[in-house]
Amino acid sequence: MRLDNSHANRLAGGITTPDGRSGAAAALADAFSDLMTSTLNQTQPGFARLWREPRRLWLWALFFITYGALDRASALFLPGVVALTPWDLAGGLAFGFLIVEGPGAAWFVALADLATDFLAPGQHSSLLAMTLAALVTGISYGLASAWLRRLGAVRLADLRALVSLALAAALAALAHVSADLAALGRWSLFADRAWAPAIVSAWTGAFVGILIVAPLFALPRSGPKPTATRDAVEAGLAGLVIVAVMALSLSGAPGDRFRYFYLLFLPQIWIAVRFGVVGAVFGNLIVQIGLVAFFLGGLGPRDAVFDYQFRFMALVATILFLGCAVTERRVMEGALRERQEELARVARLSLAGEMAAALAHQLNQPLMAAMAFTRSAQRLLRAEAGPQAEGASQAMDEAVAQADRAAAIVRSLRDFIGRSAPERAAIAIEPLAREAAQLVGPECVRRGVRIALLLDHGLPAALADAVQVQQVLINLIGNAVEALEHAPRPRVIEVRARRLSELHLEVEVRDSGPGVAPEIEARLFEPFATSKPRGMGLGLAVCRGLVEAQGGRLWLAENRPGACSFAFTLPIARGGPRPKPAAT
Amino acid sequence: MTAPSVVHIVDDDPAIGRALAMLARSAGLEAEAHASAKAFLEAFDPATAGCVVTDARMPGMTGLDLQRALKARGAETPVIVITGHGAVALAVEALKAGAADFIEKPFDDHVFLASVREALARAQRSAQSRAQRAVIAERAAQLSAREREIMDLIVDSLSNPEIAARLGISVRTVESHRARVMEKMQARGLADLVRLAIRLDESD
Repeated sequence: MRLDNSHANRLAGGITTPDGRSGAAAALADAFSDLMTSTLNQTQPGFARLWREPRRLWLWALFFITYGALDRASALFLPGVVALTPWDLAGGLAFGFLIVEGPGAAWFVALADLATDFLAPGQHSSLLAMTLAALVTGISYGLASAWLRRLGAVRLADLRALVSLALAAALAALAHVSADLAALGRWSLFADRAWAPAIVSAWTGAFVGILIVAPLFALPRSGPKPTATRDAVEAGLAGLVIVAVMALSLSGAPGDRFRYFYLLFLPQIWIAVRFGVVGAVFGNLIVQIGLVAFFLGGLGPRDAVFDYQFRFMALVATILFLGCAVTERRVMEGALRERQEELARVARLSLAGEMAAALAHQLNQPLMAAMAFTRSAQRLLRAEAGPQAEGASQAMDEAVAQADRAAAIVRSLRDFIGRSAPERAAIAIEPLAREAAQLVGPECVRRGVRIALLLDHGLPAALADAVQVQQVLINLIGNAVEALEHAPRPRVIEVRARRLSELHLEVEVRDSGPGVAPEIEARLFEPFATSKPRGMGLGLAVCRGLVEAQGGRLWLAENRPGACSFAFTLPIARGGPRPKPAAT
Repeated sequence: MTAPSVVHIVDDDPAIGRALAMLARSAGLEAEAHASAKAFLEAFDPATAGCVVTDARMPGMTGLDLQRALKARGAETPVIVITGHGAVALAVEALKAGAADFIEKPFDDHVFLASVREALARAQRSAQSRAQRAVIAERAAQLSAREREIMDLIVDSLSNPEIAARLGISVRTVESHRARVMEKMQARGLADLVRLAIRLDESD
């Protein structure tokens, strides 16, 4: 399905800055001051909360210890060179910790960093330099987490969140490694012009560290996960394959070092595609643990560790993006499926209600006639006297009572299945129409039908039941799609909406099909009238019933070859939220 | 003139039409059944039609459409609308459009007959008042222009000298005109004349 672009723009309205002051610098300055304010505001609660919730104290202590351990594990490899680590897992932990705890905990991260640096064996830096470096780390990671929380990107449920996380991580890692390199006495690297590769190496380590560990704290609540036993077995199998491929790729001769590295992509893709971002995060973690264990065990050539880490960054980022895309897609599919199921349920209910109503009507007629005939006979019999006439009259009373009973049964059946009262609220037509078009979208693509939404700008909200209105829209659009099946191209469906009066707005669904056959037209809205070979003929009857329940009307607005249009009205919500005037 | 006493039953279901017509006849009323609003309107005679009982939902012309069509013709025939169970909105709309009554299907005989009798009584009352107005209008038509003028001034409670001064004629002439007005309008006194004149205004 393609939405008409010009109209999509019309709907969205132009986006410009309110005062016309364009300029990335000004926007950046605003964002930065906002960020600083929110960071400072969050410091106080973070600190105060710690005393109110003792369990949090344990969490922070646990973070402190783990941070130190991870930092030591990274530093073991290059003793003394505090800033230069191929896998800054401690930094990743700090990043994740700040995402969960908020930027108010940044001071604690700085403290942990200072403590571990101070306690590191073979360090030669001054306390001031280490304090400075730790402060920069805490502030930059804190700002990054503040920004992510502001964006609402604290869960990796979609690509937007991941891109935000990667961007924040890249910038924070750059600040962190620059400060470390500058403050911790690595000036000699600048002297022999090796500072650029040093920064790149250190940055890679810090960045990968965040990409590996921080997502563990940002796993989405929904999306694919290995929950069933079968899934868990499959995930375990994928993990084993990852370990095997790692072993294969690392055990080669120095010349063959990277020959099998790319094979790692295969099990990683497998796990990411099956289990989304959760699979990707754990796959990446396994690979990183394998890599660390391999080099720490002295099995790997130490000079190659940065080369590995650099390639590894590509792998980690790719797999993370893939996993995120899979999760996003599955979540969207799930939401769409839920929506479709809900609509199908509502459709079934109204169909049952309409059938019950039709049935009640059809049964009521003969019952009604029988009652009236019996009463007539009874009245005519009154002229006669005698016990026989009296008995006959009694029998007629009984007959009427039984007919009445049957009518009551029909009535209660109808009331039981019948439509529930609509839940009317102020609703905007535009998102409903858009979603309806999306739901019918796949069918449209298959049949080469184009849907254009032509909704008037500044359309007021309608007072109606959103689900029922959408059901009407989907029904009408669905009918239009079917009507276009054998129509000449271009096959076009237009959904229009406009304000009709102070009280009503009008929605129209128009197609370029052959129109409604005259023999159908007269009984178009009667139940069981249909032109479809497999239809019940209840769709339009249901639609009319639904629209009338909202206080609107539904009718065939135009009917000629090439232009068939159904229109319905809805009451405008008074005192409800009015659409804002377009930004200028 | 004949009294408007025929009960017209309009229903697309012929069994219902026959049954309700029979019920009305069994209660001693005159009744006719029609299969559609269109068929009914073609045979419609405002002089004899006592009331109309119509189903609200019919293919083609609905009960409400029929109500409007009668109104458009200026007919004052009361309309009773039969609705299905629970069609509250439809019933409200029918009453707003001037329906005399609405009854929910299915209903028992006394409900139906009470409603029909009420409607017939109403029709007869309005037929009577229509007839009375016609009689008064007939009498007023006999007045000369000057007599009509003087009657209007009398009704406006002007005294004979005031009328004479207003019209520039003698009090005597006014008195003789006044006597003719009272005679032609068959008024039993001033109060009666005022009553007749008001009813005359109503029919205009």
